[in-house]
Amino acid sequence: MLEIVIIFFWISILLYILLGGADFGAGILEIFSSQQNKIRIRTLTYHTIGPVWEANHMWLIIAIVILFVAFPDIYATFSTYLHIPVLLMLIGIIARGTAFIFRHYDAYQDGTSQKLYNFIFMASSLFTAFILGIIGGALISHNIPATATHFLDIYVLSWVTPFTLATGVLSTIICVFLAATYLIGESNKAEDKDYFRKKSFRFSIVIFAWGGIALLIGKITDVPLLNMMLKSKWSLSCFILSGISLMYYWRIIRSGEKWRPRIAAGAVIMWIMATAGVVIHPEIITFKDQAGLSFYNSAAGTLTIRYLAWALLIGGIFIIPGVIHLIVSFQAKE
Amino acid sequence: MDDLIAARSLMGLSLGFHIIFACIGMVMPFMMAVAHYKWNTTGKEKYYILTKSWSKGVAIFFVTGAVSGTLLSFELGLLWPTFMKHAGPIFGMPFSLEGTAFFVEAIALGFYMYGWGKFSKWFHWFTGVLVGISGVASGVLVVAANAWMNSPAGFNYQDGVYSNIDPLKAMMNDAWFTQALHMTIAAFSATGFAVAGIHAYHYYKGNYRAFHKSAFRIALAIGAIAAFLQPISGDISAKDIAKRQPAKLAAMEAHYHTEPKAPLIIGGIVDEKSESVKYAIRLPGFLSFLAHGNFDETVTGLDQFPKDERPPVAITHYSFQVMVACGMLMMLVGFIFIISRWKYAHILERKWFLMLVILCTPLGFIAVEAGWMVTELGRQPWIIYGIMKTKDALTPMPGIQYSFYMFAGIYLLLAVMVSWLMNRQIRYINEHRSLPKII
Repeated sequence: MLEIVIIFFWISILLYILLGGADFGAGILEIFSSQQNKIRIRTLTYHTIGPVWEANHMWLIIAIVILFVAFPDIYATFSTYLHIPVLLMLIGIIARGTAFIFRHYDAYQDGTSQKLYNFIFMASSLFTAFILGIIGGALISHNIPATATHFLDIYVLSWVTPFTLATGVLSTIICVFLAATYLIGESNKAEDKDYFRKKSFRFSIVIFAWGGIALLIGKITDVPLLNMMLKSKWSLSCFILSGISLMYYWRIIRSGEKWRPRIAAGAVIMWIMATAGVVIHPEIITFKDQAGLSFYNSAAGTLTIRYLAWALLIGGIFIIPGVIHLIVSFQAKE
Repeated sequence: MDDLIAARSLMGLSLGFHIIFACIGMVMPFMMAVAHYKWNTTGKEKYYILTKSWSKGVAIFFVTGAVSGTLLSFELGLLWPTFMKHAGPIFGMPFSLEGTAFFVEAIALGFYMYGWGKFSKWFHWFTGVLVGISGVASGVLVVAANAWMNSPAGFNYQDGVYSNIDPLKAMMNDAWFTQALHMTIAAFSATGFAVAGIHAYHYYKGNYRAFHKSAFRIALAIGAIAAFLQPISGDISAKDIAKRQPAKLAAMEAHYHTEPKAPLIIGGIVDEKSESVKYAIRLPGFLSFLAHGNFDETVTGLDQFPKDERPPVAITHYSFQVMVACGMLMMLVGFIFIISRWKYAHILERKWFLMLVILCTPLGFIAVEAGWMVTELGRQPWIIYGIMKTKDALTPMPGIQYSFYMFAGIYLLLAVMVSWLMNRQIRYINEHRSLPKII
């Protein structure tokens, strides 16, 4: 039963990164676009992401609920050491969610208030994606000091390092890449398709380059990730698969199709995440000075796990067809 | 501000904010569904406009509620890691089910908001009803977790070790039914009266009267029925608390001394030092009756509890008085409404009646907040009643006061923004008698 819970956890995280990431990315993409293109993106995101975006957000909550029910130690440790970035992320989530809904439901679509909503939406999309990357980086970088006593060491330097800043930037880029790829398939006009296709392609190159830089920064600052990755055949395979997916993506992106580039882009990101996950396996939170916490050494009692697994399975029966139906119902008409 | 007070204030503030949005998110979909039903059956334009504008309200409140709920799911760990470490596996069951309910709500809302003209009209209507049903289910499930804190069940506790954990038993704790019933009815009456009050105001001012009249009547009907049911559920709750949490009941009633024929203390000023209440109205024997259904029975007073296990008395007592007073007033207005609806329709047009409804706008939510304070403060100093004290659950992270100030600012801003946005919606409809266009 523990495996079912773990699988649900990873599915939720993956879906949050892919769907939620595309959602964040749409906001960030607006920042890097000309005024005319901003409107293009806004109209498109309203029609495609609008109906599903509340559902996207739920994946994060599912993951958190799984953590605090089934792996309370991980949840408590995570929210103690990473108190500050989690707080920052929450502020970002609040600002983003409300700005998105306000800008569409304000009865008077006049200048000033729309400008304000847009600004908040774009800024908080960027900020939240960046912080999420920092949190991810902090969890995997063997840098959290379990035995430290000084405030700065425990609550700040545990997550502010050159490597986590690099993963923050990386996650931001990933979001934009996912959004651009997703929006290709939602555009009806050839001109729009072309625009998003170019964006998507450019950002795939940036991911490739920045991913390398991030690993290099990790190497220089003694984050043991690169060495560990090279040693483990599983994580190395995941890494190679991400490379293969990227090459496949480059081959088919020119086609301007809807589904194949999306799947390829999703696969690239999935394998990058898998690489990171497998490297620190079985740990989920890594510490600087002692063994980290894993799903196995911090799982709750068997009865809790069993009930949770059933709740998730039954929930899945309701949720998954619902989400699929929702996404399909609001696909752009060909 | 010390960290414990700061953390408690922040948690209270977050819950106090979330509860408003959660209540509206639970009830407004039903109002919207009633209006939609009328549009489907009568085809009158005003019902269409009403359905759509209420549905926008639902969307705005849903999202604000969803983000403040997300915040809460993290905040539990940020502020009370020790509590969550032990309680998570025990009381987590309702949260994992709530995830599904909330997901269904989000999916149904997606269908509803973006589905105009895309589905058959009754399927579309049904997705709206589903938003409400799953919203209520979420609320009821979340209350189960809070009820567990008041009435811990489903585990054995000895020397700091929690064993024999059974999440299902924990969910089915003794307080769940009474708390969930009271909260759900409260949500209906609070939202009903709040929405009715706003539309009554515009009706009174003479803005687009046909529209506001229908809106105000649908909302008030829902609020009035709920206001009538609430005292029954209140009575069940009081008897339940008398049994399970006598200290809470004693604090609610400022009942210091254990005695038979205990008086019901109404109002008054509580002096916590001399353990007495001045200037209050006392009804002899009535507290015994409310707590145990018998005028002679002994009611446990605060003197049965050591000083460090007593909840704060004055604030719990005042909150309780405020809650009951608001409830009574709403019941009275509800009574007038139901009678008038039935026989004396002209009363509904009277200025004094509209004025009364307008004055009742915030009452339901004041009662909700006050009731929430009663149940949370009345449980203190415990976070898990009788098992873990709130101060022992606190995070080691210092400087929580800054988080408190920051979130107080954010919530204030959000409250202002949402009110402003709602006001603009209504203003647009008043001016144009049609719906605002969306990009």
